[in-house]
Amino acid sequence: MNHCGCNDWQSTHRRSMLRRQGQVVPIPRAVLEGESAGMCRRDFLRNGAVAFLTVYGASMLDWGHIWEAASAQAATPGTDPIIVSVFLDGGNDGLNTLIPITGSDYAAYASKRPHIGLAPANCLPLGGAAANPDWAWNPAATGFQHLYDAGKIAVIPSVDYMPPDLSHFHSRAFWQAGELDPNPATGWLGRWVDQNGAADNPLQAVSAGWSLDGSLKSATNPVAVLSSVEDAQFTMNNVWSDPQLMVDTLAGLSVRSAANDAMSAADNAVGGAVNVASRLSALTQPTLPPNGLGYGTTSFDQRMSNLAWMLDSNLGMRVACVSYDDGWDFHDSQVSRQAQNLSRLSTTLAAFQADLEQRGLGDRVITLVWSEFGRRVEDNDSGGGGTDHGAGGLALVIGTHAKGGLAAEFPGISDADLDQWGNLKVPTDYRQIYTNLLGDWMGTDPAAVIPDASSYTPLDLVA
Amino acid sequence: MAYSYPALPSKPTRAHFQRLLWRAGFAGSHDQVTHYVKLGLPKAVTELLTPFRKNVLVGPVPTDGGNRLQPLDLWGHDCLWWLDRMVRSRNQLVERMTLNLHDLFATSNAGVGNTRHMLRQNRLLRGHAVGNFHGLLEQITIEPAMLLWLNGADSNKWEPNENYGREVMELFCLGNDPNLESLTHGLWTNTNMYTQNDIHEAARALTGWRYDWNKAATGTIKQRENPTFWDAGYHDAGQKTIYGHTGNWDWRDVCRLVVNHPNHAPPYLAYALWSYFIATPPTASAMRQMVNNYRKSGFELAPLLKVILHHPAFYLNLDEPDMVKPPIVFVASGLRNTRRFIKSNSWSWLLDNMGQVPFYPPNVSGWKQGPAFLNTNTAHAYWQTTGYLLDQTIRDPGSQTPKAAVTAAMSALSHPWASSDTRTKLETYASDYATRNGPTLDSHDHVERQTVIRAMLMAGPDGLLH
Repeated sequence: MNHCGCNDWQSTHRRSMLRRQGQVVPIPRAVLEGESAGMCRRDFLRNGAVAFLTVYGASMLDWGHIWEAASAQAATPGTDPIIVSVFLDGGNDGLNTLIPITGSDYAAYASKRPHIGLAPANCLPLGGAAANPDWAWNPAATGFQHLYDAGKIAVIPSVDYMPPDLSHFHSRAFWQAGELDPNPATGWLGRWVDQNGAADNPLQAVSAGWSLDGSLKSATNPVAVLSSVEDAQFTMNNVWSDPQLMVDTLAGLSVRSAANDAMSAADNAVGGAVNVASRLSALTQPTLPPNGLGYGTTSFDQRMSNLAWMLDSNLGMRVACVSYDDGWDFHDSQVSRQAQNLSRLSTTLAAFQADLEQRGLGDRVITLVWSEFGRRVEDNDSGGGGTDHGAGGLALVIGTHAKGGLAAEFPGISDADLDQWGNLKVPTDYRQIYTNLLGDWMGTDPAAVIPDASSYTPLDLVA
Repeated sequence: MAYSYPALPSKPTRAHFQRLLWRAGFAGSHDQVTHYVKLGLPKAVTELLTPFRKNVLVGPVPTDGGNRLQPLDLWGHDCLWWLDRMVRSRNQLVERMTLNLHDLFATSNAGVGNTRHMLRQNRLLRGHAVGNFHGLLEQITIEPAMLLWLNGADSNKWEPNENYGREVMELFCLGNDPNLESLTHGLWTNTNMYTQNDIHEAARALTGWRYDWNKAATGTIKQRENPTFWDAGYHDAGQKTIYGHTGNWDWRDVCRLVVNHPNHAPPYLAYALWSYFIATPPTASAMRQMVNNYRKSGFELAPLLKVILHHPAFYLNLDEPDMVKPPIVFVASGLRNTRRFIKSNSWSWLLDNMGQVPFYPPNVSGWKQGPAFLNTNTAHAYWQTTGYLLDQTIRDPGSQTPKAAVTAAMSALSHPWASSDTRTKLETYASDYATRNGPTLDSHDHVERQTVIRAMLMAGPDGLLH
C-alpha cells in the first residue's frame, strides 16, 4: 500500500520556477580558474557544486559585473554572521519529534495518540548542560540528541501565527514572507538582502535547489538559485558539420525585446540554457567527495554539504535556503515515515554542523529549521495512524552560538490547554524568531524587514 | 434556455483557426486545420463542444517496440495511452479539458499507487470534460483514486479526516486567494470565505465511504476497478452546519453545498477555466456571461466554455502569442504537427525531464502553469524532446535557397507560429551555413540545415508559445 495523504509536499518546487524568471549565469569564471582565495577550480569540480546559477533581481547587471563582484568578495575571508534556513515541507509533527514524557502532558499525549504515541522509554533523553527530564526526542532523531547534548539546539516548541490557517500554501507563504500575506511580493530574507546586502553579488543569498525559495524573494538586490547540471549541452541528431552555428543561432533567437511575459520567459529560458551550456562545456562532470562527517547520500545531504563548502569559499554568502521536500505531511502511516525523515534530517544537520566547525565557520552560522505548521494533537487511524493539519509547530535553532535548551513556552496538551479544534495554542509568533535572528544575530534592524516588528518581542535564541 | 455569448470575430483568418486548435486542443496538421477552416468559426466551436461518439480515434493504434501498450503493467504506458488520445482524438477540446481538469483535481499516482484507479478517474474526467460539473464533483468525490489520494478511505465518523474536505474547498471549487476578489470583478468575495468549521463539518459529512483492500487485490476486474463501498455504520449521520446551512448532511449534500456556494459558480471555477485558455484576466462582462450560463444550465461546462472560445481576448495578438505550451501540449502537438503517432516509450521519460508527467502532478494544487514551466533546465528538455520528434523525419530536400529552406521547414511542421524576426534569423542561418560549409553543399548538408531550421522552429523561444 502506498498512499500517503495530501501529498502537497511532493517535489513541490523541484522543477517549477517562480513566475519571475531569472537571469542565468554560471559560477564566476575567475573563481573556476582558481584566481581567488580559498577555492580553486578543482575543488568546485570535486564538490559537485559546479552548477548553474539562476539569478533573480539582477536585470540591471551584466554578467561580467556579477563575476567581478563575487570574485572580489571571494578575495577576502568573511567574518559576517550567516543564516541558513531549512524548511520541512508538509507540516512536521512537533509532538512526535520532541515528546512530552512526564506529568499531565504525557498523560494527555498517551490518551490522545493511541495509534502513533511513542513510549517514553524508547525516546532519547535531553542531556548535557540543558538536560530536561520532561522531554525526549523521537527515537530516530539521533542527530538532534547529539546536537542538543552539546548545547547547540534552541527549541521553540509551539510556534505559529494567529489565527492559524492550516493551509499548506498559506502557512508556507506567511512564514516565507514574514507577514500574513498569501501572495507576498518579497520574502523576509529577501527584504533583509535589499536592506543590508550588495547590489551586485547574487551569491549573497542562495536557494540550494531547483527554484527560488519564497523567503529569498527580493525587490532590488540580486539573489540566486544554485542547482546541479547533468547534461546541459545542445546537440541534435544529424547535426555534426556545423553545430556551433546551430548553437549560436539558437542563442540569437532569444535576443529581442519580448512582447509579453510568456515570450520573455521563453527567451530567458532558451537564452540562459544555451549560455549555461557554452560556459560549462569545458568542465567535466563533478562528483561528490567522500567524507567522514556522517553525511548520507540523499539530495538533501548533497545540498547541505555543498552549502557548507560554498559558505567556506568566501563568496559573500549571508543567507541560504534549503528545502527538505520529502513528505512531512503525515495524514497517515506517520510513525514509520516520520522516523525515516527524522533520522535522515537530524543526521545530516549534525554532519553539517560538524562540517561547519571543521571549516572554522562555527562562529558564523545559525541554522533555522522550520515547518509551515504543527499537526493535530489527537491522532487518527489512517494507515495505522496519522495526524491532520494543526497549529503550533516545532522550530529549532541550531549552531555553536545557539542557546541550548527550551527557548519558548509550551502551552500544554490537556483538553483545557487546546483551542476549540484540538490544536496547540500559539504562545509564540514565528516573527519572534525572525526579530531575534535579524537583530541579535545579524546585528541589523528588524523593523526595516518585518512589518510591525516591535509587536514581536524577540526570543532569546542566540548567544 | 437562453445563454449569452460574445460575438465571434466576423472575418477570421487561418491564424484564428490555428489559435483555436492550439488552445482548445493540441494544434493540428495542415489538413486538420483546413477541416475547421471549411466549417467556419461558429461551427468549428460547436464541433469542438459537441464530442463525436463514433470513430473518435483516427490513425494507427499506439505501440511500444512493435507491441501494443499495457498501461496497467508497464512503466510509462499509462502516459503513452493518454498521449495517444491527445494525438489521435477527433474530440480535441475534450482531451484538452480532460488535461485541464486533471490539473484542477490534481491526483497523483505517486500517492494512489494504483494505475487502474488512475485510468478510471481519467475516464470520468473525459466523460465530463464538456459536461456537467456538479455530476463530475459527485463522482470524483467517491471514486477510488480520490478516496485514496485525499484520505477519504481512511476517514470515518470516529475520526473524520479533513484532507478532502479542505482541498475540495481550497483548491477544487472555492479558492482562498484574496486576490480573486479583484480578478473576478468582485464576484468572488473574501467575506464569503469558508471557515475551518466548514471544513471540519464537511469532513464529518463525507464519512461513510470505505475501500476494500482484499477486493482491490484479488477481486473480479470490476471489483478491482472500484473496490469502494458505502458503509452507513462508518458515516456520521449527526447534524452538521456547513456555510450556515444545518442538516444531517452526507457526501451528496457537501457536493451540492459546494457548487451552490457563492464563491464557486461565479468566480472560482470560471476564473480557473478561463486561465487555461487566455493569459489575461476575464473582463467583467465575460465573467457575468460565464456565471449566468453556468448557473442557468445547472452547472454545465459547455455554455461556460463557449464564452471563452467566443471571446475576443481568445483571439488577441495572433502574431504575438502570450501563453507557454505546457510540456504535455508540446509533445502531443509536436506529434500532430509532424504527423507522427506513438511508437515508443521515449515520450514518458522526456515528459519527466520537461517537468510534466500525466497522472503524476507534483502536488494536489496541480502544475504551476504558464511561464513557471520554463527555466534553463526545462528549456533544454524541450530541445531534447524536439530531437526525438524530428528523428528520422527529414529526407534530403535537395538544393534550396535560404528562403526556400525556411518555407519548406514551416510547411513540414504544419506552419507553426514564428515571428518575422525569427524567420529572418533562420534565413540568415541557412545562408551562413552555405557560406561556411560550401562552396557546394552535399546531401548531408541539406539534411543538417533542414534539421536545424525545424529544431529552431519547434524548440526555439517561438516554439514554446501558443
